Amino acid sequence: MDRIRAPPAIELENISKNYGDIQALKGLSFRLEPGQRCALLGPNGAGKTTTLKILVGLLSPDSGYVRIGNYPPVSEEARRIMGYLPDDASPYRSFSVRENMEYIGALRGVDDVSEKVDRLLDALQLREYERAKVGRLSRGNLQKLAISLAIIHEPTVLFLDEPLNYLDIPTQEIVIDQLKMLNATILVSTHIMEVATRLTERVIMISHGSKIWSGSLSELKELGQDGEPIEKVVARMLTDAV
Amino acid sequence: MQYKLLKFVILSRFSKQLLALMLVLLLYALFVSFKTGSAGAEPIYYYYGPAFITFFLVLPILSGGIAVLKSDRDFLFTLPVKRSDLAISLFVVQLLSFGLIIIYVLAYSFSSLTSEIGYALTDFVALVLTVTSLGPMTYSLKARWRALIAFIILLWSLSVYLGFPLSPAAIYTGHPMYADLSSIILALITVPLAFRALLRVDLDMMKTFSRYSSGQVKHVRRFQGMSPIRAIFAENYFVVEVAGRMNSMGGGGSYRSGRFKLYKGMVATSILSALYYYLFVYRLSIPLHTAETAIFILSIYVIIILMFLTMGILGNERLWLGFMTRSPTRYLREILIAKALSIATLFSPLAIANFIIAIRGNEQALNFGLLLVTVLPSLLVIVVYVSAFLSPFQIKEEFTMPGQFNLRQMATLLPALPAWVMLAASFGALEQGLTSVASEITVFTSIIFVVAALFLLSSESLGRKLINNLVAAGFV
Repeated sequence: MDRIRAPPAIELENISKNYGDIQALKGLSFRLEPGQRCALLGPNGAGKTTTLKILVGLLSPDSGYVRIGNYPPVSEEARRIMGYLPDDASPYRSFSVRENMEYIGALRGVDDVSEKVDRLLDALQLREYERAKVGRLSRGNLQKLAISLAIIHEPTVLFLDEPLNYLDIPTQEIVIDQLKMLNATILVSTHIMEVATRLTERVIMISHGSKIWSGSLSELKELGQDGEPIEKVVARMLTDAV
Repeated sequence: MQYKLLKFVILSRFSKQLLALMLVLLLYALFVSFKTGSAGAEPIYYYYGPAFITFFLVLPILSGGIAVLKSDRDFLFTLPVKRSDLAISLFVVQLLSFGLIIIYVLAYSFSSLTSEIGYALTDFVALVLTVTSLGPMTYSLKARWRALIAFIILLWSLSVYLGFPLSPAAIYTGHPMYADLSSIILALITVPLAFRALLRVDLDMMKTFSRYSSGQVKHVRRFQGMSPIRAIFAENYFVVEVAGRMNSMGGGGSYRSGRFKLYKGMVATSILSALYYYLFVYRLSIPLHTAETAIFILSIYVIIILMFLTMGILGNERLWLGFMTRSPTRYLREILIAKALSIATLFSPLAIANFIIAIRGNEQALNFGLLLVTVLPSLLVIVVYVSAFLSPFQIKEEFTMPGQFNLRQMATLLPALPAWVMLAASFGALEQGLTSVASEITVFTSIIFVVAALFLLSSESLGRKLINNLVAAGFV
């Protein structure tokens, strides 16, 4: 009997997006199979954040086709399975840490919200700030709270924009463990190669709104000449693409 | 150096178009104050003049703050600029963003003060300086001190109703000399204190930040076991959010927001409506349906309340959180419905008081009742949509200006204009004795605004465009 093939977790086909006269994305296409973890690499202004916003349904593309687990990004079905952490994420300022987590948990329809919140507070070492207003938090703790809000419903498709920003090294390790434990399809937007290597095994490289390369990290390393570090390889490829 | 600094500080806070409009409005207000207006309207100004003066003396203490941008803290305050030059520039900005409101709002009442115009001008100049100074003077004080100062000024200003002559609002009660004396004393106290605060604004702002950011929530609100829609209503219906930063025609530069539970707000509006009912039925001799009354009351209801209640709705939202939990347009629709119903509920005691007054024979009160429970909540939805397209800004930090004041922000209140005109037409019909026509206009106005709000809420494509616009404007 033939196995029924699961639809791609993330599918993006020929996406274009303009902001006035500026063309942010030009016919961008890629897909991620369930369980894949992939980095979206590119220089500043390459279109990484725009791509993520289109994938999570906060921005409509001018043309093209987007599916998350075979559903349109704005559908309730897609919303249920995906999580999103934007760059410089800011939770609700007037809430405390726990209120933010419980409110989003309730909106997500999470069973046993309190239990999940307690688990995340401990896992991300936020317990002592449970009752603190968001305005009181340091940037690092704010980032931990933002990560917990993105994963509180245990998404199967996760979009992360510079997830390790502001985190000290021990906390980065905790966050990496938590994210890997999810077993989700993950697309990480970053311009820091180390973040890509720690969190993912594949790379999609974009520049000026177009894909210039995609493949596994090991394939990327093989492109290096004479023991060239991977950062140099990426820099050369991005420079050549200009 | 000082001129260049002044120009830089003003233009970094106001667009040139807005400055031009403000100049036109100021000239128009002054023209109206001296050239037009019908004398003999003193009874109206006797009631509303002191009320408006009191309101604009209290407002900057409670919510005004200072017009400081985040980039000022990061760059301007670190420059080797003379502190006195910086303080003067910031004072001028305060004057433009807040102080002149007294002129815009009360200039037309000068027509009733022509016999003591010299005193009136002195009084208003001193009041403009005072209103300008109160924000910088008090922004760094703790909330209880600001509340105390606001309360003392409120009592002092309103004491004219009890016949006390030595009050800044006494210009309207036949005591011009005492009014001048009071206003000048107030200005002499507040202006130097404001300059003192502006001279050390960089240090005081850091103190304010550290104090406000040290808070812990006393009672953590729980959402355990709630369905998504219950959680949305728990947050957006049962809690009312008031935001304290408005456009340059009223409000302060910095942003401050407050929240209170709906039932607590309803206790306050119930007390107010009982007082309102008692005053209009048993005490006050002024009719509800004159054009002057309509201007005053509708202005307060439609513009000021609406600005306070709509400012934070999208500004405090987080696209990556609430809007990600369900279809974005559905979430938008649900929070707006919850907020609109919350406002209707909050003001329902006042509406009921108006309906009872209408049943007792004063049909004109029907206007206010319907305004409160239908037009105002509908306008809230309409203004949110208009502001999202014209001038969206997200609040990422309190106590600083979220951006430049511009003409588009002013335009966000334009939807209030047709409501104001149509309801004023209803009042006009009442003045002519056309009671049934007036009621029809009022009901028609209510229907139009409710239908317009429902249309906006039901339009999927408009909702999508709105969210796209917020994303393009940098909302996270």
